[in-house]
Amino acid sequence: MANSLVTRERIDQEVRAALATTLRIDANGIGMEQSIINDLGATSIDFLDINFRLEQVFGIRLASQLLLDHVEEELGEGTAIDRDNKITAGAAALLREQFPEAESIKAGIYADEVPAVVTPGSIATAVEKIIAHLPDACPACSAASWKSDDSTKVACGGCGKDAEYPDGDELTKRWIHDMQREKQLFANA
Amino acid sequence: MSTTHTRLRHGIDLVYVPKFADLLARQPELTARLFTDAERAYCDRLPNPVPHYAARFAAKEAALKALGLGISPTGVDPKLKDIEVVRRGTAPHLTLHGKPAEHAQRLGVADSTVSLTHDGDHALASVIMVTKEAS
Repeated sequence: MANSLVTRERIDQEVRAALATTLRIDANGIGMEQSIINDLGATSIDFLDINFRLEQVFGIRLASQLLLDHVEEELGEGTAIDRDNKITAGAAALLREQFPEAESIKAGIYADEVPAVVTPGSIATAVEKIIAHLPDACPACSAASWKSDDSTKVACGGCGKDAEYPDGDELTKRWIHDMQREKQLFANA
Repeated sequence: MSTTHTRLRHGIDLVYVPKFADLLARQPELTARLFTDAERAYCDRLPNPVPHYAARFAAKEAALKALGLGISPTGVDPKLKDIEVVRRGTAPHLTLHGKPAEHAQRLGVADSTVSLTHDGDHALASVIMVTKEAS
């Protein structure tokens, strides 16, 4: 469960709704494991719209950079993508952690094949990971109660201020360092 | 004895202008997040800036494709702003900053050219990059 006020089912529902509205397709026909690019036909402009809609609905900021970009920023140039534009073994292992269903991810595939692994399910998981970081108490008034009128946007039960979450980029960076400490996926980093 | 191989990398992108106009209307901050000050200054002085913004967005996506990075599935990817279309005389030129510039250097990109066009509801950009690889 993402947090006690916003369930994974609710997140899935909103992801389907955002995709359906942006792509003008039937929400009921969207499979959570379909490739948003290859199966649903989204373009880059569509992602600008889909992410914006979800950020508005949940009051969050999704990651603006791909995992590969974060890896290079955090662990050094060339750690994720080699000179031939292929992803490294470390990057492939990390991507498999982030996209466990994506069997196409392996070391040596071209970097431009990676965006196709984004699915409705992976976007819902990204939303879920952000809203799981709802603080125990409101930073503004210290009240330890949260409420949600629509099961999407959470507000303080004391002062009414909207909940603030860490953004997706910040969480991704933390996760990369945690994974590197735990699994040493990047030998020379 | 080493020889130098020249390779062409190409990217192309088409934007449906009404869709882009709708996005800009609903997300007014988008122009500042996607486009540099110089790009905005150029587009905003025109009577109808939207097709020009759309063509520049297409150029950014085309450049990502030419660089072998594919389309951006993360919304407002900061790499997009790091790919800049500047005017020299009447012709557009591509200037890369930040990560796209680093990536281009890694690939050995020695030169690039960009072409933009728009008519009615569509804006299109084509980017060609030339790499020099020693072998």
